[in-house]
Amino acid sequence: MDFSVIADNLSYFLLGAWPHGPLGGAALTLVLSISSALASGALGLVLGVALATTHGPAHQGLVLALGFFRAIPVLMLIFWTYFLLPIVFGFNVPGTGTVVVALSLIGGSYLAHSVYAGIASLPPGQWQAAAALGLRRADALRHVILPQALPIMLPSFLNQWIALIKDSSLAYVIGVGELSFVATQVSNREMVYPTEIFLFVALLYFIICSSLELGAGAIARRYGSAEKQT
Amino acid sequence: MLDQLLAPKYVGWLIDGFYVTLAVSALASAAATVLGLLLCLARLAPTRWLAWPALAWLSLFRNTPLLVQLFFWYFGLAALMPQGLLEWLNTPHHWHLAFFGVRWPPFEYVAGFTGLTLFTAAFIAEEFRAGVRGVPPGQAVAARALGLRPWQVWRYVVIPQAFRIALPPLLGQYMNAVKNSSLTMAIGLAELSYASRQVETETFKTFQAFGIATLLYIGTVAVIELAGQWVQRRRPALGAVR
Amino acid sequence: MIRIENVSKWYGQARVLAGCSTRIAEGEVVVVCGPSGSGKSTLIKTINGLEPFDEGTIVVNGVSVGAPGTDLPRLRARVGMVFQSFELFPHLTVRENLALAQVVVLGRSRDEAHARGREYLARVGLAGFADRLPAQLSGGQQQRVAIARALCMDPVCMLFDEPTSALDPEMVGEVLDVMVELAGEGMTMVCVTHEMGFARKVADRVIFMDQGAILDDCPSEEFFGNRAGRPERAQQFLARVLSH
Repeated sequence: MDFSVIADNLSYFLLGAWPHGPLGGAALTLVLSISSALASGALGLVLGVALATTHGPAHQGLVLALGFFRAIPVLMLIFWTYFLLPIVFGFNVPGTGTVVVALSLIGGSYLAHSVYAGIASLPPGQWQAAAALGLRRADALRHVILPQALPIMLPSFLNQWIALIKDSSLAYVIGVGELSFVATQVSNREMVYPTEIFLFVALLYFIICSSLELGAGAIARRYGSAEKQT
Repeated sequence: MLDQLLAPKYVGWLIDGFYVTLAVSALASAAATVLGLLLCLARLAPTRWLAWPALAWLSLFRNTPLLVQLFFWYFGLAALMPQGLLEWLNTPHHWHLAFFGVRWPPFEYVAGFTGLTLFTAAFIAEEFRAGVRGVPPGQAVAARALGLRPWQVWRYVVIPQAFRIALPPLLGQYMNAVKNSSLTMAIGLAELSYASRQVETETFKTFQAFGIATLLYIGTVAVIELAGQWVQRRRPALGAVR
Repeated sequence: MIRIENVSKWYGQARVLAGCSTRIAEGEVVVVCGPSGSGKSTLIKTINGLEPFDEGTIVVNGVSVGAPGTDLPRLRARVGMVFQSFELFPHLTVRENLALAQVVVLGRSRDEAHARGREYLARVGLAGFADRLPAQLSGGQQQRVAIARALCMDPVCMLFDEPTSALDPEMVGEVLDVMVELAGEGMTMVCVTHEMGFARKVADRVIFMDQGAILDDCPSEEFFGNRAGRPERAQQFLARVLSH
């Protein structure tokens, strides 16, 4: 084992070609993860509330659509968005944007179910009590239901975001220069140290993901809810 | 209209890729279930000499991307192996066992199977652990009160119930294994995603290539889902005991 | 049959059993009562070693429970126990619940175990229920199966840990009937229960516990007949439970 290859390329692993070129490496992984975490969180909240408040065909249709995104591999969805986004928008979408869209759709579909389950886990008496006080459904949701349901959901949000960080490595397949891509680049260039390189890159991911996981565990213990796995 | 269809040759590529996807994910799921159960038992062991290494192992495999793990097994492990072994692994071998010809698969299959198995096992171990935690502690006490020995308590009372509790999430992990097997294309395994990309590059019929692959994935996941519902319906729920 | 001498147990700083001593003779029925948190459940679970204790001696049927070399599973196989929350195994049918320990602990054949199971199931009035799952039974029926499960092991004595506390009121009677019948057959029984009617009717002796200590241990006629002679805490307890 010879870890000098890591030291020699450290800046490239962490930042890519930046500041002389585009941002890449671990920094780009973080950018991808944080953007898709925010977008998937918003999407999951909206769709989860939609699941909780719709009935009949609209509800079934939503379940089916979400089921579609949960049934296909992230990789296939990245292929699809890579291919379809330029057609939909009429101009070239950068690879980073493509990946964020794909990850947000997948993450949002999983989170929608967590949000729905969190809302459904509250006793129905809470809706009735809010209604009895004269609150409209939207107000009941905002002031009574969600404040109780969100802490329950928080661990599944964090777990989903951990999954997003790991899935952001798939940006590799469309040539986005995040951490995994950079790792294969360096590995191909140096030829002789793949073990060291991939161990180091795994360590970087491990530090990011496990600190989030520890946070999720602490929150789950604090609110006494079972941790949910995707 | 007809020229929109894929030529049979390319459909054949996709079908071949689909078989590889099914084979790799089924084998990895089976191996990961056994390994996952062992990891779960180690994680729950009363001695920290087993529990802590198991915890570290699970945490490591759950908190790093499968893609990086696959690269590690494919490139990294190969670099660590003595030259002779690698050459042996990369050359085809045939054995004859009774009526079956056994062929040693190319290295990307070995690396892909290993990576997918170890990754999936870490998640399955946690599902089992959640299942064990779902068994009320009074059950083990009652079993001990009847004179069962510790291993019998696990064998006859805790594990059967934990397995039932863990079955739905376990099936979810099998679905994930099918979906995650797509990542092995990055190390050159000619599975379904790899095949769809190849067909797309050759024919430029993106919709058809990705569409068929997508439908095959959805179909597989749907079959696992239906199988799960069938099993759940066939056996009565444990229900609330108290 | 059962000898308990100076048994004490601590949870950290808190003493949950304080120098408890008593003897239970063969064929005797003893009711243990007291306010919740008095240590009565803990005491009954030390008898078959489900709760370890820190000081003292317990000897059951000639076997010392706390001794390091004691084969506890072997002892427990001969001491039946019935739990507050039934603890039938929900993944097994009634028949399998009755047979499991007979087969894997006593080494009986399946046929023998099932025959024994049928016999005791009939004794608790549930002859037709062998193929049900626990979840398909009422609470009272589950508890009767649990009693049958313990009896299948041919126990030398039976421990009951609040067997009727988790039951709806209308099901208490059917379980107590089985216990009364068992007492009538000469089974040695230790029952933690609040059912004072059962204690008065069936028990030979009543033990009253509070804060981990045995405050009163006397024949049941004395316990219920001579209220003024009881320790103050026992009088308060009796006044509370008998006023309902």
